[in-house]
Formats: sequence, structure tokens, C-alpha cells
Amino acid sequence: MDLFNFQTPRSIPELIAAKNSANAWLLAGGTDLIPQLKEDRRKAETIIDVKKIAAMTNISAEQDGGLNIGAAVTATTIAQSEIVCASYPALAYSVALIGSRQVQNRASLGGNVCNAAPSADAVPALMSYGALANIEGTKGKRSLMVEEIFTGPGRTVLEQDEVLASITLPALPENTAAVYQRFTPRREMDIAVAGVSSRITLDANSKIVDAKIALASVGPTPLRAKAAEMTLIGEVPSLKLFEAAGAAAASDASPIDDTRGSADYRRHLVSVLCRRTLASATKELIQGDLP
Amino acid sequence: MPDTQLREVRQPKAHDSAIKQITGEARYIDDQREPAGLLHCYPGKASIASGKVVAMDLSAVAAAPGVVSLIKVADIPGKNDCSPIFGDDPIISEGQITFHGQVIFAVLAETRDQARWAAQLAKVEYEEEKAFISVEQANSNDSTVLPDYQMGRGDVVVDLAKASNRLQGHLEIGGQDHFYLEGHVSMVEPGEDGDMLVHCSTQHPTEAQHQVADCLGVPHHAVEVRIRRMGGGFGGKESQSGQWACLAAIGAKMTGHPVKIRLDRDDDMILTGKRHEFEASYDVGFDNQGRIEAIDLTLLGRCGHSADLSGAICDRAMMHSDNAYFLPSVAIHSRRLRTHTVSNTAFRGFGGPQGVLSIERVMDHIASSLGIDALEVRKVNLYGDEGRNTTPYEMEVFDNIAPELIEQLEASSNYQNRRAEVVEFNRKNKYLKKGLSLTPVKFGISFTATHMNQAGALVHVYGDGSIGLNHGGTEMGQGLYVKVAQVVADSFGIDLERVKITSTTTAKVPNTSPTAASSGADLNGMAAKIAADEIRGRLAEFAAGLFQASKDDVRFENNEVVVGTERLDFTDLVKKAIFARVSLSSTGYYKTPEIQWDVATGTGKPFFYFAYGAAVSEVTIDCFTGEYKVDRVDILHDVGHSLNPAIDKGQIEGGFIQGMGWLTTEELKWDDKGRLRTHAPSTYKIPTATDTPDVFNVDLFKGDGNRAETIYRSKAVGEPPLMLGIAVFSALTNAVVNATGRMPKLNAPATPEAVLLALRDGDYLV
Amino acid sequence: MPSISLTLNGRSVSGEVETKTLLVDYIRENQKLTGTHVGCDTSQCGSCVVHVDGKSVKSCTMLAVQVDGSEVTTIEGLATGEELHPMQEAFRQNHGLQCGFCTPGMVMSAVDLVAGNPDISETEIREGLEGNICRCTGYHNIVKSVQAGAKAMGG
Repeated sequence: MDLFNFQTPRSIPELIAAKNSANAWLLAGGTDLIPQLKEDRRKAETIIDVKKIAAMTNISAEQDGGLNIGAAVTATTIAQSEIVCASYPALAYSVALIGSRQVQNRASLGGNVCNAAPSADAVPALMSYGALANIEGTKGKRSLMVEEIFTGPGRTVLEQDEVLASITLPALPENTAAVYQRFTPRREMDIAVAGVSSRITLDANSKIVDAKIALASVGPTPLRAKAAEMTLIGEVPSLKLFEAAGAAAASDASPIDDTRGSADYRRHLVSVLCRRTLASATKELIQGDLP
Repeated sequence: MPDTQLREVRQPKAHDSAIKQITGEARYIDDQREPAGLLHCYPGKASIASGKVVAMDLSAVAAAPGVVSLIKVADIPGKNDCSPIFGDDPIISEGQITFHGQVIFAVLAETRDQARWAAQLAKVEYEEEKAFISVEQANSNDSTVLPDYQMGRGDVVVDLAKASNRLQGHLEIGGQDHFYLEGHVSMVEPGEDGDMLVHCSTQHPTEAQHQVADCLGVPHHAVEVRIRRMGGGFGGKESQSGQWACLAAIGAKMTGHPVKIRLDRDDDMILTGKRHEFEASYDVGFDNQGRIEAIDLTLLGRCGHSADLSGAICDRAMMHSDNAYFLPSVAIHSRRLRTHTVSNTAFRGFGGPQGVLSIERVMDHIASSLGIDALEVRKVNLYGDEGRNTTPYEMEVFDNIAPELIEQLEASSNYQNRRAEVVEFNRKNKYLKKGLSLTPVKFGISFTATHMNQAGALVHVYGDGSIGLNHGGTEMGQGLYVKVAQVVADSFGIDLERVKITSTTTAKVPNTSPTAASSGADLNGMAAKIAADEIRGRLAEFAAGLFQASKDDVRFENNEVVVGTERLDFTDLVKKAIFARVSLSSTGYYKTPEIQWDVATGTGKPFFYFAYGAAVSEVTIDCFTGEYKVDRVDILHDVGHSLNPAIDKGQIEGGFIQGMGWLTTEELKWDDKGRLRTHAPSTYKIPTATDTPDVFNVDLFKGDGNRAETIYRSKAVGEPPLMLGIAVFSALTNAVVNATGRMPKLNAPATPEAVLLALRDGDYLV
Repeated sequence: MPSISLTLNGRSVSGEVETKTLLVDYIRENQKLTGTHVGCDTSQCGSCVVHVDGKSVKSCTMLAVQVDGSEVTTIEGLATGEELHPMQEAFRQNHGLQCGFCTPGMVMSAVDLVAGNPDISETEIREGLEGNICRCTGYHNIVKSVQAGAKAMGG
């Protein structure tokens, strides 16, 4: 590891200024960046600690009922936040899967997103809640859907002079529920072989009016299962419907073989997890067994 | 002279270093204060599996910041070998590359980071040659490290043809990384006359001493190897620590500086050997109760690029492929395959687990084919009375307690009722299926190489009545040091706290065997007792003279010496003895009696005795994903009269979980270029605290003690419990049988993906 | 070279440190506190767990400069003089260790995990220890130790 400058900006403009130079990296949890630096897989001239920027370490309610989470808020803080647990339980659940307790004490939501790992635990839940990534840079601010910021494994649309400042979770309509499940060979402290977050909204007649399904670890980036979503819209929840959605999600996935699992296995898991997450989400909204 | 009362032996004493370990004071080699001028060594690795180095440009390495010197093969003053037996493990490759990652040079630098960084800068050109990576590739090309070997009795071909029922099967058994939490580490301090003090995390200080001396070209007396404690060993530091000690020693000799080498986790996994992968094929004949009439078994062991300890490991696999069962007509064939991968080595069980798993698969297969409970099949096959009590290598199973132990466990685990509950559960649940299995272990205790069954100890009694204890055994967490200290304390009738346990060093006890084969306490406990009893004898004679009594009337108890009605504080006696010129220091030497082995015929008594145990495991599998959980495990294990029941239970619990990990989540994967793809804890998954059984009951078998004359009739406990983990694999097999109605093609490790494929007969789309 | 000041095991320390120095190396090499171990270098095994401002972290994936102004506690700072911390005492009494290499990290994780939760369940303990790998014990006695330690620490 080479020597680098270490900076601890106190505001977002200071952060942007610090980041706007060659080989500047933001440090939050460090579980990816530090091993990369140590192995010289990543060169750094500047490392920026984002933990001391007050504007990025807050969770605040939006006026319209949504929620804004600073990019530097730790996984532990999110998992323990009453408002997140009450309104966005799939996110609270999924950030508690990141690494271990010690990692969650350091890891930030922004880090989990910007690291752009296909397996990032917090991302599918964000995507199925329709979360926005709020980006700030020297040229101003822009907001994108979370899924729009990934361009490949470890790569995002963020320019050198841009930072992810916060994530906005929109207010959810009535009758909405989301569930994230992942599959790991070992129960804890493992990386998802496949993960699915399913969010559905029902109308007064228990028809599905909105569905957002996001998949982890089955493509170069976390991805939306659009074909699966399409099968659901306008339909009444049933086991058969969810099986069809699972099959569609499997075709939405584009997994590869690697040491964690074969592509076929991942595709199969996506179909099972999609069906299961949809069934669990429905259970939160409707009493009784699914037809 | 009467034996003393047992005050410390059989008590659940804490591990000798417990307080130091929980306060952070316990020092492992990397924690020792670094001597001034310390240099750090790091190896440079080959990036092909098979071929020749055509050109190697190390100029960038030498020019890197902090680099002091390079170690090339020509810099080795003596022999370029760190093999335990066969002379086929170069410390640094001489140009022929035989596995991916092989050491081709090493760097000495001022810091460890600098050395690691520089080691990556070599420019190496290779001429690649054909590499055999898999068992199949090596087997079909007759690529072996040692000759094939067989043992058995009877005419198996004829007996198989006559058998009432017959089955064939095949099982692939994965390897296992030791994953000791402390990786390989050595620190070498040069002294005068070319002497070297070697701090090496090793289970075999004597071998490391020989290797370091030989590579430096100096007599053995010039090298002292010292080790206070290891952060785990499990066999991985038996024959494979020497290479790192040698590199550091060569660097120390070249520069005159002390040198340390510590591999990082990934390199430790890439550069050092593991448990052997095996493939077992069987052809078995059996009656309608499942009783085996004849069996032909072939065990293919993947040894890696060199022989290392593979001969003895494959032998032990053969000698354990009977497990607890009588095989009337039997042929066991073993091949020791050479692959272009890291040289596989000792790992807790030393081939035994692969043998035991093979025959347990046969039991499950027979049961499934007859449609009866596998426990019934296991019971009818157990060793029994005259006529059914000799192993395939013609040793009498003289201490068979397996039937009694299994009966007790069957009752205490409520096996039969739970079996009925499992049937009921499976009837009610379509997609969750349970499996239940009871598997026994019979494990032979002794090194199969007879000459290794010897040990030495050195005991001093100091003037204040404190004791200095040293022996050839090493402490890797298993609690050997405290057990031996308990033995010595009781020899003198004094408190354990008065016995100082000192680092294992070749300077105090020479020519030792490795701490391996579960033999640590058996051998070193006995040697230390012999040394202590020798001194006690001298003290008793002296005390008898003081009080005009017979030596036989002198007793050592409660920190006192009692002669009739006279009592003297132990310390006072010691002071008087020194004044009277009585020697209070002694060595002790022990060799295991009775054992012998005839290589030519494959027969003999290789083991002093057997250790027994059994486990019942209940699992639930998810038929959609292959996920499973271990609901409950009950263990009953035989440690004879335990020297320390707390330590022994810890060995059983830890051994079981390690065995379960081997057969469930721990999967080693090599790519077709011979590169290990699972070389970090993120991809190679040992069990965490949540992977353990929901209910875990562990009991020690209450028997009459070891029938063989061991130290206080205790039994070895290091390796046998690992094989209790086989109950989980067998229960998973049973769950798949319960789900599908047929014997699955389930190989080890039974990862969730493997279980799902077994459920679906290899096809996700079913 | 930047300069950092922190409270380490209750004592103020300050000095210059290279930006690239890992917290674990700072603790082990600069401060000579070798109870904190390096087992895997990649934030997996948990041998290097220490407390930063009362929370458990893996010191192999933090930079020393990140703890400027913080309170850091290592295994050496847990006992009060000769008196063991209740969690340390619980590990001793319940045989919660074998080779001992993972023990300091395990104890540090346990203290943070059970703080304020004397009746923590076995499941919570097992899940809470996911970031600490032990290869020797099978976790059985470790879980027992943590349960006992939680009780002894009180609410």
C-alpha cells in the first residue's frame, strides 16, 4: 500500500472538493476498499473519511412522508432506526445482513450502494422501494433511481467530482409490503448466491397495482426483474401467479458460474426466492392462505 | 512405593493458558517482541501448475523499496528439501514447477508489506507442461507419488459372486483446509557459531530442526526449535511448517539478521497442503439383514505434487475403511495419486475419516436398497465375538465397546421414537424432509509407523518445591500441556499450580515425534510420569532414610510427604534432599508396547488400542433450495478414564463441528489451471456459531477405562471425534432418500447445491 | 505524516502515524499491544476485534488515522488491574477457548454484543458472533461463556 492523503471533510462541498482529484476514494466501512488498497488492486492518492460530515450522517423524514438517509449513516444505525423498521422493514432487515456486527458498525448505506457489488445486500430492498440516489457534484445536484447508478461490477455513473449524498425512500402507498430474502450456503457471514427483494402494492380489491422486484448476485449489477413484475400487475395474488413470476424472474436473471454457485443453481434460486418473497409480502397484506 | 492419590488428574482443569489467552497476554510467535534488525521474508510464487521456469528476472524485486536481499535456490547452503520422508519437497523450486503457487524465490525486506509487495514484481517466463489436477486425470494417467498398496483377506471375487445381494457405488470425498486461526509463522534468530534459534509454529519441532540444519548444512545441534503455543494446528503444522522456518533461516544465515516470515491467509491456503480428496468405489455383497458378506473397496487418494505423509495417510484410510464393522471377505486397494496441486498432508484423522466415511456410505446404501433403517444394518455388521473380531489387517479388536456404546446412545437420544417422528414429519410435509442417522467411530490409536511411538520428557524439582516440566509434545490448543502437568502434579502429590509448563524445545528433549495421531497425552503423559516418578523414587528413598522407614511407606499427598505418622512439607523435603546431594532432575522416556506392523503382508497390530464413539444427527432439508439445518445432535464418546473431562469434551465438540464442516460447507475448488479458487474465508466456509446444531448433547461414555495400559487408563481424544461429523452427512443422505425413495448421488461436501442436485438427480429443471 | 491523538485503554496517546497504517498494526506494532491478532487480514475472522467509541470493529479494516479523537479499547484494556472483566471470567470458567488465538476478538465482540442485555438469548448470541470464527471449540463453550458473561455484566 502506498502512502496517500487522508482527509476528513466536514461538509458536502468540502467532500466534493476533496474527491475531485485523481484516485480519490471515499472510505466508510472499509471492508472492500482497505483490502483492495492493501493488495494494491486499487491505487489511491487521497482517502476521504465521510464519517464526520453531519449532513451525511442523518436520517430525516421528508415532508411527503418519505425518508432521507445520509450516505454515511451506518448499517447499525439504519437497522436500529424505529422509522426504518416501521416503514421500510425490508431495508432494516437487509442492512443487518451486511458482513457481521463489527462491519455493520462501520459500513454505510452509501458505501454498500457505491461499491456496486452485484451481491450488495442493501441494494435490492432500496430498488424495490423505488429509492432515489441523490448525487451532488461541482456542477450541481441530480437524482437517479438507485438501479440507474450501476454500470457494471464495481462501476457507477458517478463522475470524479460527484458524491452520493443521500438516499431518498419515497412515501409508500397504502397496502404495500416488501420482503428481501437471500440465499447463502452458510447461515451467516456469507455473500448471497442469489437474493430477491419483492415489493407489491394491492388495491381495494386485492389486485396487484404495483410491483417492483430486484435481484442480487445474478448479473453484473443488481437488477430489476421486469418480466416478473409484468406478470403480476393487475392480477390477484395466488401461488400459481407467484410461481409464474418466479419463472419470469429466473429468465430476467443473467447469472454466471463461480465458486459460490453455478448459473443454473442461481437461476433456480431466483425463482424460489421470488415466489417466497412475494408470498411473504402478500401475507403482510392479506389474512389467510393464498389460493 | 504406593501410587499417589489422584488430586489433579481427572479434574476439569482449565487450559493452562486460559487467563493469558483471555487477557491478551498469551504470546504467539508473531506476538513476540521483535529483535533489533529484524528482516521480513516473503515467498515469490509460480503462476503455473506444471512446467519449467525458462527465465526469471528479479531486477524489479531487488530494486523495490525496502528490499535487502533475495533468496534464490543457489543461495541454499545445504540440502534443498523440506520433505518429511522422501526428499521430494524443494524449499525453493529448482526450475521444475509442480503446483500453482510453488515457491520460486523469496524476498528479504525491512517490513513485511515491502517484502510482500516486492515478491509480486518478478518477471517469470515458463514453458508449460501438461498438468493433472483431478483424481480422474491422475488415475487414468497412472500418475502416482507412491506405489499402490492393498490389504485384505479371503477370495473376494468368489464371495461377491456368491453373495445374496450385491451393490456397487462411488463416492467423491472433498478435501479440507485446516484453517488454524494462526497461519504459518517462523522467526529465526542467528547466534554465534552459526547457531540458529528458530521460533516455529509447528507440531513437529524435531523435524523442523532437522530441515533447518540440513538446508543450512550444519549439525542438528546448531539449531534449536522452540514453540510455546500454536494458534491451532490440526495436522497442518506437522510436516508443512519446516519450509517457512528454512526460508527464514537461510535469510538469517545470508544476512546475519533475525528474520521472520508470516504467510497471509490466502497464501497460507494456496501454499500449504490440506486433507486429501478421496474417491471411493465399492462392490459389496450382503445378506437380507444387510450383513456384509464380501466387499471390494478402492480408495483413490489425491496426494498433490509430492509424497509428504501420503503413504501413511492412505494406509490409515485403508485401516479405517472397516470402521466398527467386521468384513469377513475383503479387498482394499489404495492408489496414491500425484496431481499438480499443493501437497496434501496430515489433517485430524489422517486418512481415517475418508476410510470411515466410505464404509458408512456403504451402510447407507445397503439400508436404502433393503428398505430398512440404516442403524439396523450398522448393528448387524459390528465387530463381535470370536470369529467376528479381527480387522482386515488381522488385528484383534480386543476392546470392542461399540455395541454397548451404541445401545446407550440409541436409548439416551430416544432414537427409535424420533425415527417414528421423522417418518410422520415427512408424511405431513411435502417440501421439507427430515433425515436421522446414527454413526459410530472406531479409531486406531498409535502412529502406524511403529518407530514414531516414542516420547521424552524432562522434569526438574527446584529448591523451593516448584517443578519445571518439559516434554516433546506441543500445545496447539488441545490442552496437552495441562494434562501432562496434571499427571506430574499427582506424581508428587502437589498442587497443579506448582508445575511450570515450559515451551517445547529441541534443546531440552531431542528426537521427538510430532504431536499428532492423537498420541500427545498418551506418549508425553507417560514419559513425564516416568521422569517424575524417578525423582519421586529418589525423594522417597531419601525420606525413608530420614525417618528410618521403608521406601514403600513414603507417600506424597496434599503437598506433603507422609511417612507413617511423620509429615514433612514437600518443599522442606526438597531442601533437605538438595543439601544431601540428591539429584532432582530426570528425563523420562516412553515407547508404546506391543505394536508391530508387517508392510509386506499388510497385517499386524498397528494400534495399541481403539477409541470409540457414536453420534446421532437429525437434519431438515428444504427440497426447493437444498438448504438444510442440523436440528439435533447427540454424542456419546469414549475417552477411557479422562485425564481432564473439560478438555476432552471440548475436543469432542470442536472435533464434531470440524468434521461436520468438512462434509457440509467447506468446499475446495480448483480451476482447470490448477489454481485454488477458494483461498479466503469469504469463499471457503468453515462453520460459524450459527451453523452448529440447534440441540447439541455431548456425553462421555462411562466405562471401565482403557483396557490397554495407558496413562491412568485414559484414551486419546484428538482425532476420533472428527468422524462423529459423519452422522450429519449420513442424515442428509437419509433425508434425500426419504424425499425421493432412492439412494442419491450425494458427494461430500454436501453443500446446499449438492443436496439440491441429489434431490433432483442432477437436474435443476426437474 | 499526520498526527493522531486518542484514548487507548484509558490512557491518552498521540503521535505521528503513516496514513496507510492499519489500526491493527498501530495497536500491535506502535503500541506493542499484541493481544489483538491478525487471522485473515480481510475482516472475516474477527481475531482483530477491538472497541472504537464503545462499538466493536475489525481493526484490520480500519486505518489508524480514522480513530483520531476516539476511545479505543483492546483486550488488554478490559480487565481492571488484577480483576478480570466479567466476560473474561466467564470464558475462563466455561472453558470458552482452546488455542486461544480467536479469544481476544471473541471476548471483545461478546462484551459489545451483550452490553445492556443480560438475558440475551442463545440465538442472539450465535447470530451476534457471526463475525468471529473459531476453529477449535465448535462454539459450544463460547456461547455458554457469553451467556454467563452477559448475566455477570448485568443490565
